Formats: sequence, structure tokens, C-alpha cells
Amino acid sequence: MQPTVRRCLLVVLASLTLALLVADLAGWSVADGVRRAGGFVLGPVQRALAGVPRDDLAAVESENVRLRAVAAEQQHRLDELDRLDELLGSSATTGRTLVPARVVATDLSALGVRSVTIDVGSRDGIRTDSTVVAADGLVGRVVAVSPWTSDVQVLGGAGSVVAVRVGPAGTLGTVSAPAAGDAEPRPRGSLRLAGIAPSTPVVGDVVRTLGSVDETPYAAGIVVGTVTAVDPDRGQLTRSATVRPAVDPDAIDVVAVLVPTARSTPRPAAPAARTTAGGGR
Amino acid sequence: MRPTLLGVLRTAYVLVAALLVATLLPRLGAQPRWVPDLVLVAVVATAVLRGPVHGALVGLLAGWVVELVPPVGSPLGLTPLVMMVAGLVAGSFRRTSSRSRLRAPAALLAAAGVLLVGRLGSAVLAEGSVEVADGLWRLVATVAAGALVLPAFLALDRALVRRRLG
Repeated sequence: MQPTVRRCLLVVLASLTLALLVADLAGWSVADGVRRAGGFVLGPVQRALAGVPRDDLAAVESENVRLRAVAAEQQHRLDELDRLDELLGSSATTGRTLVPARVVATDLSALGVRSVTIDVGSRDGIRTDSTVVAADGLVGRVVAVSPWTSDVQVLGGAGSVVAVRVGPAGTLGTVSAPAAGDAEPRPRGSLRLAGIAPSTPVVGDVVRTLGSVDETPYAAGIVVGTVTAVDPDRGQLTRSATVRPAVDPDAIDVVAVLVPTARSTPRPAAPAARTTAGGGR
Repeated sequence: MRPTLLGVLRTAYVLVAALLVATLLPRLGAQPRWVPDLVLVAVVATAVLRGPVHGALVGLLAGWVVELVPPVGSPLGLTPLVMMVAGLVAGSFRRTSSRSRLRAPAALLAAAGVLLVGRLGSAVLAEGSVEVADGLWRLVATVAAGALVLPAFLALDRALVRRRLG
């Protein structure tokens, strides 16, 4: 072969190889074809070389592997069913219309805030600003919707502020992520409850959502967390406190998206009872 | 172009060596770190006699054989390119004037080094685990095997060319 011909051949073959490499990295199906061809041609030779035994032991071993896989799959489904049962029986979902979903991706931002992606989207009827709950309480709200998935802003994310009622009296306040200029040290993962009337927050009080118009972005009465510490009184008009969220954002799996139900029928006026024994609040 | 006896022998050797390294030696219980790169030995043997372009071409083709022997490598085509560079480097060791016996093992060492660097580089890029020690052991095994086999390869090559069979 002439040297020039050889050089041309080398350049052509090297470019072809490079093109295949790029195609494989880009995930095109050409590379899979080449791969399959390699296995098709050389696989039988390898089988013959390896001398694959075709006896009962091999058959039993392969059956064993298959059954193990089936058992693991069934166990996984059972676990999932348990979690869904728990979610459907919890107080956060009673009497509400919901779409069950699973967390398919999570991302921990540089600021330590977790945002999650769930496997339901606009085709399942999900809209932005729907409430997302887990069995234990509030998870967050939907901020972006694509056809098959949605992104959820988890409670405690940057810019997430929830209006809440605290304790049995139902004092109003807001729950947000601990701000940078917060004077009080708070443990990682806890939230800041602010703007409540003095003397009301007590350690152990349950914090529930206040609810918004048409249940967007947050439905009413869903558990947000528990007050774990009250900040000392420094003479401000309002007090603040530390809240431990009811749902651990690092371990969310099965969640439910509440479908907002706007009120369509007028509320009828009801006559009050004659003897007024303690009014409503 | 008529296939020559040397070409047929070389192709058969590369195929058998690739299958041996991928299939038979692991079944016989050989540790991967001690398995010499037998295909590279053949590439170096022909490259050191014929120069960089021929070495690169043979390296590329032999690399494709290694790549296509299942388990097919991923990403597809990386091994051929690295083998091509290795053949190119080995081919640059050709000296028609000198007949030193150390030239071929030195070329093999350089080519094996190229292969090791290519493997480590792709491991780093793919954020996989980098096993420098295993790679170095494999390089040592390859050079040791090559020091034994290369003189025979070169003698066979020269004899076939002299009888107009190459």
C-alpha cells in the first residue's frame, strides 16, 4: 500500500471512530447498533470459549436469581402501598381531593435548600400553587408544572412564607426559612415563626396553615410543625419562635397534591342558638 | 490488494488475544492486574518495524477489535483512539540504522504508558474511581510479557517479509 493511501485511510478511519465516539456520548442509536453487532458476532465465540455448563445447577441458580428479584420487587411495592395507606388515612388529606405522587428527583441547592420533583404534571391536572402534603403534614407548594412532572418548593425554601395559626387559640403568624439576619440561633432544618402576638406561643404548640382563597397556594388546617423554642422577649411588638417541621424534607417519598376546590354554592345563613353558650372564634 | 500471510496471521493473533484477555484468562482465575495487554504487544511489534502511520492504522483497527469483543466498551470508540495514539508513539521508535534490542521494549513501554494515561484520563473525566496501582501493575506485566515475546514477533515478521509473504 502506498504511504499516502495509508495516511488517507488512517485519517478516514480515525474520523469515523471519533464520530462514533461522539454519537455514543450523545446517546444516538448508531452506537447501540455497533455494540449489538459486536455481541452478535463475537458472543457465540466467547460462549464456546467459556464452555457454559447447561446442567440442572445452572438452571436452578438462574431460577433463584429470578425469584429473588421478584421478591424484592414485591417487597418494594408493599412498602409503597403502606406509605400510600398512611397518607390517605392521615388528617392532612381527609375530606380532600388529591393526586398521589412520588418524588422522582431532589436537588440540594448551595444554600442547603431542598427542592423536589414529583411524578405528576399538567396531564394529571396539577396546577401551579397547589398544596403538597405528606402523611405527617405540609411539604410545600407546586411552583412549576410540566406535562408529566412538577417542581415543588419545599417548606423552608428561599422565599417560602406560610401564613399559620398557632396553638389551640389559633393565633396568626407566618412561618418562613430562618433569615440571614436572624438574631436567634436555630437548629438546621428548623423554621422561623414570626409575627405572633406576645405571650401566645408555648413550646409544644402545633402550627397549622391558615389557608388561602380557593386553597391556593396553601389549604387550611394542615400541620406545619411544632413549636420547639420561643425566642426571649426583647420588647418587640411581636414574638418569634422556632418551629420543627412535621415532614423531614430529606426523606419525602410518597406525597399528595391537593386539588383546589373552589366554593361554588353560596353559604346559607343559619339561625343562632337561643342560649349563647360561648361563641365561636 | 491480496491478503498476505503476515496480514492474516496478525489479524488472527489480535482476535485470539482480544478474546483470550476478555474471556478465557478471567475464567482461569487470572487477576486483571496481572493480565498483560497482548494486543498492544502485536501493535508495537508491527509499528516499531514500519513507522508511525502504519502503527497508528494497526493500532486503530486492533483497538476496534478489542472494543467490539463483548463486554463492548463505553464510550464506544475511546479504546481505538487511545490505541491509535499508542501505535503512533510506538511507530516513532523506528530507526532503520540502529538494531538495538532495547528499542522494541522501550516502544512497548511508551505505548503502554499512553494506554495507561488514556485510561486514567477517561476515568477522571467520567468521575469514576482511578486505580493507579492496578494500571501500573498491568503496565509492568505488559512490558514483561512483551520483552519475552517481542523478539520472536520481530524475527517472524522479518523472516516472512524476506520470503515475500508479508
